[in-house]
Amino acid sequence: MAGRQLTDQPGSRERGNAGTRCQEPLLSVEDLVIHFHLYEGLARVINGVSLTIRRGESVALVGETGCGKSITAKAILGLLPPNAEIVSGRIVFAGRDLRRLPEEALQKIRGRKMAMIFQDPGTALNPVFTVGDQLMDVASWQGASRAPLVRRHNGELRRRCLDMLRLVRIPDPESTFRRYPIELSGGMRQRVLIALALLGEPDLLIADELGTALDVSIQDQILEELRELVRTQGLSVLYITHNLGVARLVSDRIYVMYGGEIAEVAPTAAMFSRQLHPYSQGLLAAIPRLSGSIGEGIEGRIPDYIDPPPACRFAPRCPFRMAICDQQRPLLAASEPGRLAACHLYPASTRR
Amino acid sequence: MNFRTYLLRRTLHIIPVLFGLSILIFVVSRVIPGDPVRLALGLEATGEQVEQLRRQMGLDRPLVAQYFAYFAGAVRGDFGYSLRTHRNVAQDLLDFFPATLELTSVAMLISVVVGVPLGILAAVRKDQGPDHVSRIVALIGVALPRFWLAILLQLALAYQLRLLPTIGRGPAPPVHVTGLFLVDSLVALRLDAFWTSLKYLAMPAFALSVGTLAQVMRLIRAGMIEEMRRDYALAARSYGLPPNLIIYKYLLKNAFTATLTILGLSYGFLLGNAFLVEAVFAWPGLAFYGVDALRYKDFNGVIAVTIVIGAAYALVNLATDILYGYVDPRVRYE
Amino acid sequence: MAEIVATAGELRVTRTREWRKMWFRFRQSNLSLLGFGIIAAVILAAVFAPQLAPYPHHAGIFVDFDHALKAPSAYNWLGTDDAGRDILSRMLFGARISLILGLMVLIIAVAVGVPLGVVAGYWGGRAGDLIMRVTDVFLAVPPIALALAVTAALRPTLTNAMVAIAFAWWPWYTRLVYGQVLSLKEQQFVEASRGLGASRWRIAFREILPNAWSPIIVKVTLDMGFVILTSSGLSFLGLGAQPPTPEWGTMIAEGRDYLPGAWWAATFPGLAIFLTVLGFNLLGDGLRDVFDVEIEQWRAGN
Repeated sequence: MAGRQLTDQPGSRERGNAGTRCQEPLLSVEDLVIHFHLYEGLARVINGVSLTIRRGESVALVGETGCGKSITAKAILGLLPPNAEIVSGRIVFAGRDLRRLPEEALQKIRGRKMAMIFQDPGTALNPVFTVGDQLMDVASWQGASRAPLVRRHNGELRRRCLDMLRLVRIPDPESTFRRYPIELSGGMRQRVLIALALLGEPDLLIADELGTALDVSIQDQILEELRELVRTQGLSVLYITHNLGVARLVSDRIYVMYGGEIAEVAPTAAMFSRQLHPYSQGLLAAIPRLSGSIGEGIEGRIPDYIDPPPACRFAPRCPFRMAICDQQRPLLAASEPGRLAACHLYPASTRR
Repeated sequence: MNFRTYLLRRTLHIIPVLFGLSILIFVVSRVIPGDPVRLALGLEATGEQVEQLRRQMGLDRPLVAQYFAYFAGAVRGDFGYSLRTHRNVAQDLLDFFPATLELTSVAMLISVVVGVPLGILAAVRKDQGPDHVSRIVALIGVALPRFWLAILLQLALAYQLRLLPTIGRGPAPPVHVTGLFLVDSLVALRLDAFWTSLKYLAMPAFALSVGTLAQVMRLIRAGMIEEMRRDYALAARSYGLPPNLIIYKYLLKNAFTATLTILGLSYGFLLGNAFLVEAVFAWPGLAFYGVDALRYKDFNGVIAVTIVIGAAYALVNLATDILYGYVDPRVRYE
Repeated sequence: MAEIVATAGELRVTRTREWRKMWFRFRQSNLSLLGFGIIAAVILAAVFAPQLAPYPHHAGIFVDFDHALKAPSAYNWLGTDDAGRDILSRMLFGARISLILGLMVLIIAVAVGVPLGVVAGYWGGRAGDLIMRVTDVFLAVPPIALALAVTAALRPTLTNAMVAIAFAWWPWYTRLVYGQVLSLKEQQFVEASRGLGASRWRIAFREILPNAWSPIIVKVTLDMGFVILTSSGLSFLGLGAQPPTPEWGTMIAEGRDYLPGAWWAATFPGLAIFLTVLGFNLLGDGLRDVFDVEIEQWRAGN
């Protein structure tokens, strides 16, 4: 794999891409609709989700548990469970529609072009193989259609893996290389997961609830380190999180997701200074603050995907509910320059 | 508690269990109506001769004293004297045990070597053709009476088609190192002897293996399906690893370790069924010896066979425990 | 008081609804229904053997050497054995023997094993330890081996074979129930009963045990098949039912001498064993799915 240096050289990628910011986005999800075939019935979980990520951009997909953010991520990678069906929509990555690609082509993209950092380091690593074994496997066979039974010793690859461990700030790479996941702390395991995702030198990283299974202070540390890595490598990242604090820390733009739909899109600073969609307002109000009154939660529960609300899925819980909210689904439209919201409070969202 | 301590405790646990077992069998066998000594000597023997032999065998002493005498001897390797074969039972054991060892080991090997790939196939092609076939095969395999299958195989392959020998173990290889014919013939570098022994072994081992094979197949299938759902499997796919690597390395190792403990238990059932299969094929093994001992009320023989089987079973379970700890690091670092 | 009565009435209705749901789930699986059908057929064959058998008197002592070892024909659908007896008739009576034997063995095993398991699990302590140690000793040897060893001490008859197998079988139930009780013990309804002042005996046998029934029922169903396998194996070796009893294993042993010529004498009884065991296995699997049960395989020393 020719190419990039895995160093801390700042801006190496930035320079190369200067002036190409306005080219087409790296990832473009367009009107994705996903249904799940459950025992109880058909669950219309993802109901027309669109998002874009440009090169070098960090985007956060924020929403409460059950809103469908993880499913969106898995759909992008083509890793949905067998009972899920992508009904319509496009997933365009680097100009190619991933839905049209056969599994072999998708496998070549996974890891090499886009990679996922999994949520729970306790379960995302294979417990019966050493860290080094798993790293070497990814380094050796990523994207291959078949792997032989025995792996020949390859010093070059081994050095690469050790370098990668160093890059994610693992203190003693040599000894960690020989250890089993159970011997490592949660923070170490998370770093190993990051290392595994970065090994293929992907253009897009998807971080699913990074660090939520860890101690808060360790989570902060790892997020900081990852942010730094992303900046120096010029990677694009999709952060999936339910935690607005995390989103604020790491992202350039925020997508707020509710009930399988995108509720609002805005640059991070703008989102935090003023929210358009009632759900976003509720989310921000719910954050506990050190001073001032205790935040309020949002009344109600996530919609039942088998029998969802007919139009706006947030309507049952919305303090600004109007008659039209139960009749017509609000469009995700630009109510102001650079900001999108799907709410009938804003005329752009209502069809004439 | 760390793994070594656990293993140590397990090993030590075997001793009181075998001890208890020996007491159990001893009591059961001695407390019976009927007179083994008279049986052995025949009806013509006089009362005096019977008494003499009884005293000689120590059968006139109180039960507890008898047990201690027996135990003292057993620990030294002396399992008493068989009224039937007129030899030391210990010697009989040495002669007959390797045959059973060979039979059950090969049966276990067949179960694993055939069962694991079939289980993987059923898991990977879940709910499709191969899966349904494997389910039917498994159901049949578990329900088949081993001895009936043995007879049918004998009928078909030996009598009708004349492909394989009907009964027995065949001639011994020229070298006697372990008593296991397959091993010995390889040691002697005699492939023809190896082939002959293999032909004699084929039907009995297969008949014996069928139940365990079915079990292994279903266990591996269930294990693989469960592992496929796990996070690390999804993660491995997300890194772009090739499917054959994921199935045969990542998933299989986890699925197999889960079945190890049950394999140990299955070995016990193999040992039990060996009695029946050895009877059908006149395979000169421990179980065959045991059945004869039972028929002729040769108690020393019966007790010795039971204890050996108990010990073998316990050792196999211990071995699977050790293997489990070796293969799955989570157990070691609890 | 009236409220408690009303609640009890509701409970009864819920139970009926539960049964209906379970029956519905059971019906969904073709294989389970097949198992049910097979066992129903076997039971009918056993109960109505005297009526169904073409030659019911062949089941006992009967010889007719003129018709010995006749191949299957219109007169003898499954042929005759070496004493000229009709194999089909004998097999029907053999169903009786197998079913009764299986039932008796399991009744004893459950009657002995389950209470011991409850005591060991709930009370624990020295008694519990002792019980489990004894169980371990019994489980150290495969059940067939143990049953065989016990038959050494007794004369080979069907009844004694039954005793021997029961002797080897009860510890599995102790272990199963022990595990169940251990996990049920911690649950809230037990604490609630203690709070109400129920005695330990009452809690153990009237609260905990009823909740542990489903794995026991599943295991009993599956075990029927395995017990029949074991007993026919013992009879085959000559250590169980003796001729002229038409037990399936004995019939195979008798017919074996006349292989390969008169293949029917040894083959059909084996087929009966196979189908019966298969039926119980399918039925047991179906029940297991319905009860959503996992039978824990406890190992010695765990």
